[in-house]
Order: sequence, then structure tokens, then C-alpha cells
Amino acid sequence: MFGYNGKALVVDLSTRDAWWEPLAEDVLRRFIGGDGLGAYLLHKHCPPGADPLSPDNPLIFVTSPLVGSRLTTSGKFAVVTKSPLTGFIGDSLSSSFLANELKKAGCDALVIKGRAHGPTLLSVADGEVEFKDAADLLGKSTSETEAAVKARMPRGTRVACIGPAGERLVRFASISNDGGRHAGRTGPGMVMGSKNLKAIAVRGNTSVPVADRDALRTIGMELTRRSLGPATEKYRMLGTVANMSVFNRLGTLPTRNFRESTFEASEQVSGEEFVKSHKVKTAHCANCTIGCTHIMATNDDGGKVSGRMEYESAFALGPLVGIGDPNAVIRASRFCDEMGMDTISSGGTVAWAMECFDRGLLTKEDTGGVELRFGDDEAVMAVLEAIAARDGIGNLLADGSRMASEVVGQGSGDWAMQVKGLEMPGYEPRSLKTMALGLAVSTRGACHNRSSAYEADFSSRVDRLKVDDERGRITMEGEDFSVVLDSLIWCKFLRKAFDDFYGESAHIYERITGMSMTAGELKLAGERINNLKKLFNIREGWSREDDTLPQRVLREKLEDGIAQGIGLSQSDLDMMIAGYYRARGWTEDGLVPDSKIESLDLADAIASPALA
Amino acid sequence: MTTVGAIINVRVELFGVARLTAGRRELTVSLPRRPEVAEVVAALARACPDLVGKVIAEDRTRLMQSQILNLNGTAFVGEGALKLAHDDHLLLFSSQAGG
Repeated sequence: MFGYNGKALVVDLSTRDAWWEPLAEDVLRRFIGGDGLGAYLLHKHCPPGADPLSPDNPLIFVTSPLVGSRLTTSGKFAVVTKSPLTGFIGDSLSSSFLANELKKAGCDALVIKGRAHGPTLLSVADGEVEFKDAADLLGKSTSETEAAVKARMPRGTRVACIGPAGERLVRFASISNDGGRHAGRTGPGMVMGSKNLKAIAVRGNTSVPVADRDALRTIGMELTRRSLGPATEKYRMLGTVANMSVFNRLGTLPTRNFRESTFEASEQVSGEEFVKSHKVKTAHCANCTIGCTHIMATNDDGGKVSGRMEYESAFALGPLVGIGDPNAVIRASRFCDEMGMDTISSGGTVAWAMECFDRGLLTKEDTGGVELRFGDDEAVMAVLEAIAARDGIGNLLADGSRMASEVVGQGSGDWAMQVKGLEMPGYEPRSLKTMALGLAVSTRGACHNRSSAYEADFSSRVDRLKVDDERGRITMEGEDFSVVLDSLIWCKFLRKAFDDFYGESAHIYERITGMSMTAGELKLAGERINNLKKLFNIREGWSREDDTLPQRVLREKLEDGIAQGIGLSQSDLDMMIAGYYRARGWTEDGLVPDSKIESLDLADAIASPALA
Repeated sequence: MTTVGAIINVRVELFGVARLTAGRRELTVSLPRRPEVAEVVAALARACPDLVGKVIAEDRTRLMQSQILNLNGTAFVGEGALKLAHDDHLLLFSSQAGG
């Protein structure tokens, strides 16, 4: 076999057993790797109805056929589990050298089940598994943990770990690796924490052969050349935070918990300003030539802090909570990274609490004396610290905005800006109608990356301020495209570097694996994987009502910016959702018919294990 | 925007790569009322030659594929001619919104 190991390593932390399970060529070809193979393994290993925090819920790290190929942006893994934030499929991706080591250690996937009896470091070295005591790592931040594990393991070991937030079961805890890269969304760090698993250390020495090394070398040089061209210029010069000033100008920058769509201090936290006044260096992810990561440092009189700055972190810890001081944003973002918390859900949940405070639903008695007002960066830091420690008000907020609003009640769910429990990213849905649909129907909740539906809105293909019944097809195509990216796994920032994405990717897949693959088959794999993810959610209780948007979006029109007066009605959203279900070939209720399961060759993939 | 006969002066707001490359936040270009996109791009290249190669293609009639023009913050500019009116302005930024 080329390009794959053909097997998954399954580890049971409860019994301290480990065993290999074969992955047939047919399975690998149908589900590719990454997100797709992860969805397949989740169906196989997660019993229906499993509590996300129970030992039954598997935590699955998945590599891909591209991992180890040395092609640009190929060093990535997916982590898939049943999300404690949504109760549905939780899939996050991260660039990581850990992916390369996992594959060299013999694993196409690492499936972790059970719950360790005490704090544990799981070591996988060339397929040999060891369970090490990790009591001394408890309480350490993500960077401290990674450094401590590396210090005790052989040179070349790569580490994934949780921070204090994961240990304390913050529902949106992340898994950190490579000195600050995070699999952040949907709370995989909480699942890891529930398993008493503080860190994973991986080392391997066996490279997986590829079918046509000479062809791959030529392809690699060409892709590297393209990766340094205009298609990635934005990411290389500014990084994703370039979005800030543009989104503000277009009235799509969610501000103060989505009450507004522009932020008066947006230029202060814009990509242009960060690059001019805060950038200290550029960093590259594993095997990546693009270098989209920009390390920003504070420049005020406070303590010096530096860290990665992405648009989503800057939006969620800036405009969303009313903060226009870039130094405060850098500090808050770095704090979340060190504690191991998803920055989007962190900012989204704090913004919800700030609105509750504004409306008198939360008081200083509830917040431990914190005057939790929009724009108060000290209040934001105090609450983030409380969340990471699950202390006081933090214990409420550590469950995310949906669950917190269920406790507080009094209509506060209307301004909990989440879908299926996952807090919204920095794209205002009322002024980005295709994105609105993408956020509503995504299997993992309010996610911009699983559909990339914003692409249509930021083009002349559609009128972003209006709805029409074509958005369903556009969103479906975006989802299928995105899931192929996430399964092979390519970085999304490389997507415009392809002239013919499916054709070129299929060709590369063949050169790596030796298995036949056409553009059409790869596109079909995208549809298959998205249906498989949806089938997992249906199995776990999904219903039509779950595909929706927060009430604020559906009831309130935008009151500022270029999109002033624009709203999104329930009937318009329903019309787009109906169009999406039709495009997918699903029933009017959004269910996957048997004929679709058969035509996509999914029947065997949805056979489920029993609950222990 | 100011009007001189059939020619109008249009403000072009720059974002991201365009702003950093040009070293300023906006430009003013002179255009006919119904310019082809190629005329807009050529005017931008004349106003700020530094944009050529990073934002504007070497032939000075096309934007790089990674860049896009927007009219008044609402309509994205595709192929063909633009219809410019009093107080219209253009926005120039990266066509890739992901992040």
C-alpha cells in the first residue's frame, strides 16, 4: 500500500490496552483521510447516544494521504469526536508536525477510548504504546506542557496537549500542538480532559512510501511556486486578520455581540495596523511554504506578550466584546491559547455575558465584582481567567453561551449567538446571505470553514444582501469542496492556487496512493463525507429545528454601516434551507433518504457499535 | 467625486495588500462615467505604479486574480462596464475572505 499505513491504532485508556485495526483500501478511497476518515471512524467507534464526556466517546486523531508527502501545507491532522458543545459531530483541524510523526509511527488514525484512572501522558513511539503518569503536568499551560513533555521524551517527539481549561472541562477547550497551533472548535480539549489525558507524545521512524516519487517531486515544486504567488499574497503579507478593515467597511464585522455590524475602532485592530505596529515575525506551519502566521507583540507599558494573531481571534476578543486596543486583544488571545480555549467561543460567550450584564440579568454579585461592560479589557481578562479556572461566573460561562443562557433564562437565549451550541465566527449573516445559510446548516454548528459560503458573498456571483433559491446549491458545492480539502488535507489558503482543484487533487492522490481517482470521484467523495457527517447528527438526535440561526439575526435588522436596514427573516432562511435540502437530495425535513445512502455507498459506514 | 465634463474623479479605498503596497489608504483616479474594468485598472496603475505585480497584473488591464473591486461597499465588480454616478467610490481588496 502506498500513501497510507492501512491501519488505525486503537488505545483504551481504561484498560491500558492497544491494538491495530485494519483500514481497507476501499474505505480509504471512499473517505480519503482527515475529516472524512474521521467521520467514518466516529460512526464505527462512538455508540449511539454516548455522553460526549463518557469513556465511550472516542477522540480520534486522523492523518491523511498527503501527510508525509512533503507537499506544501500537507502537515495536518483532523481530530474528530462527539462534541460536548453541540452533541453532534465535532471535527477540528490543525497544522502540525504531530501528523507527520503519527504517520511515521504507523497510524493513519489514532483512536483513543476509555478514561485513564489518573492524569496520563500517552506515548506512541513507532507504534509502541506507553501510559505515563502526568500528575506533574497538571495546571501547566499549553506551552509549558509541550515543553515539559518534549524535555522528558526522545528528540524529535511531537506533542498534542490540553491546558488548564481542558483539565477543568471547559466545554470549548482546545487541543494545542506545535507551540500554539490549536484544534480549537467544538471542544475536543474537553473530551481529552474528560479522559484524564493531559498530553500525547508521538514519534515515528518509518516513512510511508508513495507510488510515484518522481512525479510527486515535480508536482511539489510547482505547488510551492504557486504557493508563493498572488493567490496567497494576502496571507503572507497580513494573515487572516486582513479581513478586519474590509469586513468593517462592508458592514459584516460583528460587533458588541452582533448588535452592530461595524466597529468604530476597527482600524486600531486591523491587519494593516497589527502589521505596522505589532508584528515581530512570520511563522510557518508544518510543511508549509506560505507562512500565513504573523506573530504580534504588545507595544504598550504593560507586560510584554506576543503570540499568533488570526482574524477570528482578533474579532472575537476585539469588536465582538467592544475592545479596540490591539494590546488587549493580543493579551486575551495569548491567554486563551495558553489556557487551551477556543478564542471564538471564548469571545462569543463573554459577549453574551456582557449583554446580560447590560440588561441587568447578570450583576456584580454574579460576576464577583466585575463590571462586565463592552469595551472593558480588564473585565474581559478577568472573566476569561474565571472561565479557564471554572471559578465563579466562569463556571457558568465555561459551558458556552447556549448552556449558560439556559441557566440564566429570561430570554437570554435570543442573544446567545450560536448555532447548535457553537458560537458564531466573525461573519455577519444578515449582510452575507449565503454565509447565513452555511452557518445554519453546517453539521458542526456555526462554522465558516465547513462551507466557505462567504466566497460567493464576496464575489459578483450573488447579491450578498439578498436571498434567492440558488444559495442552497452554492452552499452545498462549497461544503463538498471544503470537506475534500479537509480530508486530503490541504490548507484552505492554498485553494486558489489550483487551476482545476478536483482534477489536480485527484492526480496527486493517484501519484501518492497508486489508487485510481478521478475528479468526479473526488467530488463524489465530498458529497459522501458530508452525508456521512449529517447521518451521524441524525443518529444523535438532529432535527429540522437544529438548522437555524440565533433569534437576534432573524428578528433584528442591522442598524449601522453599509448594510443598515438589512435583516434576514425566518421565511427567507427557511426558503434557502429548503433549497439546500433539495440540492442535497434530502427530504423536506432534511433527512437523508435510503436511496441517497445507497447511491453514495454509505450503508456499511453507518452501522453502529452498541453502547457499553 | 468631482465631475469635469465626461470625466469624473473617483475615490478608491485600499485595503490589505493594496494599502500596504501603496503606502496609503486611498487614491483618486479619473474615469469616464461608464468605464470598462480594464480602464479602471489602468487608471489605478497610473496613479500608483507600485500596485503593478502585487495587485494589478503586469499588462495593467487586469487585477490579479486574488484581488477584487467593489462599488460603494455593496456591488462586486465583475466583467464589463461600470456605471458610475455622483459620489460613487470603489473599494479594492483581496478576494479571499477566509480566516
